[in-house]
Order: sequence, then structure tokens, then C-alpha cells
Amino acid sequence: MRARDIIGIAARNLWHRRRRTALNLIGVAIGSGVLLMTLSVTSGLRSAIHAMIDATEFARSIYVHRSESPMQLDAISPKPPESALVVEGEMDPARRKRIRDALADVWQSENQQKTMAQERKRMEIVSKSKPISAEDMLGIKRIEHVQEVVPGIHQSCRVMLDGAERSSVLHAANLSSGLLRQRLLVGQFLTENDRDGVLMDEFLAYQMGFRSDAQLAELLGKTIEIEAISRADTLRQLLESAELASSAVDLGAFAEYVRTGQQLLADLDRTTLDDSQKRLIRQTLSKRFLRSGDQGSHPNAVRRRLTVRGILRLGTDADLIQMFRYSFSEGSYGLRVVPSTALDLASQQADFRGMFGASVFVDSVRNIDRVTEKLEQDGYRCASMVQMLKHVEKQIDQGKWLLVSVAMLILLVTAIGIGIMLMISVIERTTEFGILKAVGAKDQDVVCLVLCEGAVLGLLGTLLAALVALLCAWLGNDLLLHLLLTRFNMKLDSNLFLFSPTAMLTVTLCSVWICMSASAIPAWRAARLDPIVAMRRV
Amino acid sequence: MISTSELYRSYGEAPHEIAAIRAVSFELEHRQQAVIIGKSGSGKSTLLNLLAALDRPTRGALTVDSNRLDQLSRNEMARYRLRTVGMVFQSFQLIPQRTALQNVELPLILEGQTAAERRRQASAMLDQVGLQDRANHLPYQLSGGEQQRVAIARALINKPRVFLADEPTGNLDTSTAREVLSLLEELFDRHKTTVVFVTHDQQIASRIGNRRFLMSDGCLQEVGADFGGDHARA
Ligand SMILES: Nc1ncnc2c1ncn2[C@@H]1O[C@H](COP(=O)(O)OP(=O)(O)OP(=O)(O)O)[C@@H](O)[C@H]1O
Ligand SMILES: [Mg+2]
Repeated sequence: MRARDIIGIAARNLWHRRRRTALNLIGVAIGSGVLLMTLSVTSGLRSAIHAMIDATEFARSIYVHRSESPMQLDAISPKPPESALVVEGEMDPARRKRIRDALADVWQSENQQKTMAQERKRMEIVSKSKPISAEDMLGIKRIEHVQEVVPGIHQSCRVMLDGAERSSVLHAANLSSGLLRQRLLVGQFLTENDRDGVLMDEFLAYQMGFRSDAQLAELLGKTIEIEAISRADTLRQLLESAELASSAVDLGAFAEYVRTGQQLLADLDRTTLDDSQKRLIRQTLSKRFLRSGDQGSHPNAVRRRLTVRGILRLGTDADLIQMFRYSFSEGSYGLRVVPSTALDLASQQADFRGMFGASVFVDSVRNIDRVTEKLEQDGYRCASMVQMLKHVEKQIDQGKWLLVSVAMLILLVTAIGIGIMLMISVIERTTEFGILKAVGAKDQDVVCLVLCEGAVLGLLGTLLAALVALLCAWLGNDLLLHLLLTRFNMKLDSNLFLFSPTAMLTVTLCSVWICMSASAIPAWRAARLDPIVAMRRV
Repeated sequence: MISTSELYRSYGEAPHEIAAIRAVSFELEHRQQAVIIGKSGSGKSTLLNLLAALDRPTRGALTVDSNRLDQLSRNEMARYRLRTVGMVFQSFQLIPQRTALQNVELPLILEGQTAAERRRQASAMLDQVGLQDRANHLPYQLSGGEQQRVAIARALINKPRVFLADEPTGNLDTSTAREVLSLLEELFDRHKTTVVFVTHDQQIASRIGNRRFLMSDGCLQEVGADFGGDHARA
């Protein structure tokens, strides 16, 4: 038998029972439609997210460092009490929420146990890592496709203004960052040569007493004084907090501890530590073990006067920046100055050894891999959006598989329906199959005829589904984009439905295969009919 | 050439076994025309189904044109039905949803002929049975005689060497039966086939065929021109 005749006969038989055929077609169309939409929307979403991230500087940035162990942050944190979260002053609700979140952060960082653990971990990593020097940065900048290198300077400091004093962190700002620029609440952004300018976050301003929206504007143009807190001071504070944190102080053990410290200081020159390490130990231990240190500022502490140019909004969950907050160590708190000023301040410290890390900005997303490879050759460890994207894609894929299983379930139910319909049809056409066999049809001819009916149903159903899916995509794209913008604050411009030829082919083959499998039992039954018995039925 | 020896066909298991055909042995040369007459239930259709390879014998050998029908596989049986035999039945056995022409071209579809070639041959065949102007009618739009002519056209379209007819005039009135019979006689001559013709009607039996057999209780015996006289009537 010719394939054309088989298809023709199958089509004619389906047409003869058009009402039943139509019902089955709807089932197949729904199943393969859901399948097609799932595949298209996931690939559309994926490419849209790529496009979105590619548009930000984060996609083009690589964080480099030389530490041995990866950075880890304690994920489990206790919940702060309501009393610690009271926000004072008149302000718009969105700002109130941001301040409240910041208060929660502060409470959390004041939780001794956690700070200790984190700080110890950080110190451990820092002590093991080889720092990045200003020269290293120049070397990185010379790599092809590298546009800018921002030093990872996060200098602990005391901020003083009109008698108020707060501790904070001073960051080297990425001046080309569009995301940072977006966060400017009032005032102006820094320019490259503005070595005395500083951007302050709204929470620090709040803490310094500039609370209402009107007060915030008054802060612009004011001069603040910065005093860098050395790492030795940080370590000393750490030791003190460690003593306070332990509830039962064993005096004997404490005396032993002091004696050991004194011994260590006396014998320091006999150790194999290098000069800077010795200096660090001496500075850390001397205050505690040799003389009672004053808690105020050092006479030789590094100080600097800076002028407030603008106030930065804190990051909120709605901001894209939150997605990257943990990939890149800088959060949204603190002060921001031009890189040269930050480097100046940090390098004047007695114990300055270099930066822990730096952010490298590449000219195009396409060159990320190439630059990463080069950096790794040069002995740097790299972290970039690539991992982040993989995570997002995994999330999308999980959603995809859920929908694919639903579609498969629909197709399966339809397949059972098709199987039953073809079974009924075979029983109804017993005489016809009997005649065909009597005239000389082989078993496989009859099998082909019935299977072909299933295949035609699958094919037509998919075709119908494709038409409906294209229509839905055309109508639904704007709706979905609007939904993403209003519900998830995700601004995507691209087409969310991508119908790839591979997806089309996969869905078609899938539904044809399922429909044909469903026809297998009726086909086999038709083929095994005894022509004499079949023809006797009139 | 058809030859059988000690052919048995029985239905059911041992104690309730019904033997529809017992120890049938006969030979038929190519282009001989055999008429089998017998009472209802005597086993005529059973024998014909065996000759058509629609059924397998329980025992015994059955050879048609060097095909050992009792030893063929399912596919070989189908192939034999398509290529070697043409058969007509008492109840015509046309596919109701197909036109006369489409019913006639059925064996050609199974052969894998092109649509144009099928149309040409089927039209010519319908011409031979005098139904050229009924080609596009569905079976229910045709009279009994016309339906049987369509069935005859279908049986002969593949130029079979053996033609089997199981009471082809059984459902027709006398005058129509006579017309169909003359058509058959004419076609047998033209197509030069071996014929096995089953009927229970003596008048019809006496009109055609050059060898006559009597079937009774599953046994077949060759008889003279008058079918053994009283024996048949009894
Ligand atoms: N499938 C079957 N199962 C059991 N018995 C059967 C079967 N087919 C036929 N028979 C029996 O075999 C015997 C012969 O049947 P067959 O159909 O060959 O008779 P026939 O001579 O063609 O009769 P008629 O002239 O009425 O058509 C009958 O007794 C019938 O009951
Ligand atoms: Mg009969």
C-alpha cells in the first residue's frame, strides 16, 4: 500500500466521524498547546532576563580576589524585637520602610554571637589571602576588553558632623554605575575629579540626626570628618567583645591569657613573622596587655574632610541590586567616594597591605569569559554573573518541568480518549476491515491504517495548537510584560514567547507519538480480526 | 490447478466437535469450472473459505497453483487472497461508505498502484459488468443485482487465476439472477479462470460449469449432469 493512500483513507475515516474527531482534536490541541506555550515562554523569559541583566553593569563585571576559601555568610539570623524597629519623624512610607529594614540590619549586626562568628570567618579568609595592590589593579586594567577596575575598599570609619558621631563604612564608588546613579535621592552624583566629595546613604543621614525629608536637603554641601578605623582597632574590639560575650569569666584562665599575651609581645622578635605581621600583633595586643588604651581617637589616626554631594537611597527588595547584593560584598549602606580618595585613605593606614578584592568591568558581556580566563591565568579568583544567571535559569527550568508534566498529563488523558474512540471505530468498522482482509490486506496494512488515524489526529492537533499558541502569544505578550512590571518590578522589553523550530518539532513529534501509541491497541485488534467472522456481521 | 486430499475442517473441541468438512479429496484442472451443490449446512461455504485462504484446514493438504494453502503464513495467505483468487459472496460484501468505483479499486490500492492507473482499470472493469454510469454511486444507491456486479468486478480486477463464488445469486430474484449468471458465464470465458461455484439451486447449477459436485454432510462427491437425480433432492 502507498503511504498516500493510507493517509487518504485515514483522513477520510476521520472526516466520516467528524464530531468525534473534533473532540479529540481539541484534547490534543490543549495538551500540545500547553506544551508549546511552556517551552516558548520559558525560552522567551530566559532570553529576556539575559537581555535585562546584560543591560546592567553587573553583567559586565567580574569580582576578583585571591582568597583561598570562598566567602560565606551566615544565613540564619535571629528576629529583632519590635522595640528596636521604631522609626521617628515625618517621611513618606516607602522611606519609612527602608529605614525600618535598616534598623533590623543594625540589630542583627549588634547581635554579638553572629558578629563574632562572621568576623572570625572574615578574618580567617583575609589572613589567608594575598591582597591586591594598586599595581595589580593597573595590571588588570591593561588586560584587553577591561574598561574599569574599582578597588574593593570598604574602610571602617568614624563619621563626625556637627558634634554627632557614628561609625560607618567608606566604599570606593563605581562612577560608571547606572545602578548607583539610580539610587541618588537628593543632590548630585560624584564626578571623577571630585576627590573631596562624598555620597551618604539615607540611613546614616537619619542616624546623624537628619531625619525629615526637609532636613535631608540641608545636609547637602555640609562638610563631614572621616576618621579611618585601623584593622588593629577592629581586632582589639573583637577581643574585648569576645571577653564580654563569654558569660562565665574564669579569672584564672583570664590571667593565664594575659600572661600569654605579654609573653608573646616580649618574644615577638624571635618568631618568623614578617614586619607588618609583627606590627599588627603589637598594635592589637599592646593596648590590652601593656597599658590601658584610650577608647577615643588616635593622635596619628588617618583623617579626612569630605563634602556631602548627595544622598543615596537604600536598596530595597524591589531593586535589582538586591539580587546581586551577596555576590558583591558592597551593600547599600555607608559612604561613597571616588576610588582615588578611598585608596588614599586606606593606604595611609599603618597596616595597609592592599585590597582584598576588586571589581573589574568588561566592555561587553560577550568578553566576560575571555577576561575571566585571563584573570584566572594571572592567579586571581573570579566571581561573575555567570553563576547567578545559571541559578535563575535553574529556577525557570523547574517551573518549566512542572508545566511540561501538566501538558503531558493532558496529552495522556487525550490519548486514552483517542484510544477508546479508535477502539469504538474499529468495532463499528469490523465488516469493513473484514472485507479489506478478505480482499487481501495484510495485518500490517490494517495496523498502518489505524495508526495513521492516530498520527493524523496528533499532527492536526499540534497544528491547531500552534495557531492558537501564536495567537495567544501575540495577545498575551503585552499583558505578561505589564504583569511582570507591576508585580515583580521587572522591566523587560523583549518578546516573552519564543517559538523555536526545535520546540515546534519536539512538541509535534511528542504528540504524534503519544497519539500513535494510543492507537496501537485498536490497530492490533483490527489486524487480528478473522475476516469470515467479521464479514458475517451485517 | 486445485487439488485437495483428505481435507478436514472441524469446529469446537473433542466431545462437541462438529466436522464441517470431512475427508474431501478432489482435483480441478486449470480453467475447469466446478459447481458444488448441497443442502444448507452441508459445508459448502467452509470448503470455499478454505480455497480462498480465509480459513485453515484442521487436517489434510490443499494445493492451489503450487501454493500449499495449509502451510502458508498469515502474510502469505493475504498475498494469495490478493493475487491468486477473486471471490464473491451471497451478501455482496461491499464497503458501504465507498462508491462502486472505490470498492472495485480496493485490491489495486492494496497492490500499491497509482491513483490514475487504478481509476483506469476499475473503470474498464465496471464497463465489463455494465455499470459504467454507476461508478460514483454508493452501494445503498444500487440494486442487489448491481451491487453483485460491483462485487464481481472487484473479484476480477486483479486478474485472478481462481474465481470463487459462494451463492452469488442467493439474494437476487430469478430474472436478476439469470442476468448475473449470464454475465458470469461471459466473464469466465473472457478471463479464462478456474471457477468453483457454490449454489443450492439446481436450475442454476445445471446452467453453468463443466464439472459437478454434490456436498452432503461435509463429504464431497463428483456427480453427473443431473447431480445424481433423487439423491440431491432428498
Ligand atoms: N465458526 C463456526 N463454528 C462452529 N460451527 C460452524 C462454524 N462455521 C460453520 N459451522 C458449521 O459447519 C457446518 C457447515 O457450515 P457451512 O457454512 O459451510 O454450510 P453451507 O453448506 O455453506 O450452508 P448454507 O447453504 O446455509 O450456506 C454447519 O453445520 C455450521 O453450523
Ligand atoms: Mg454457505
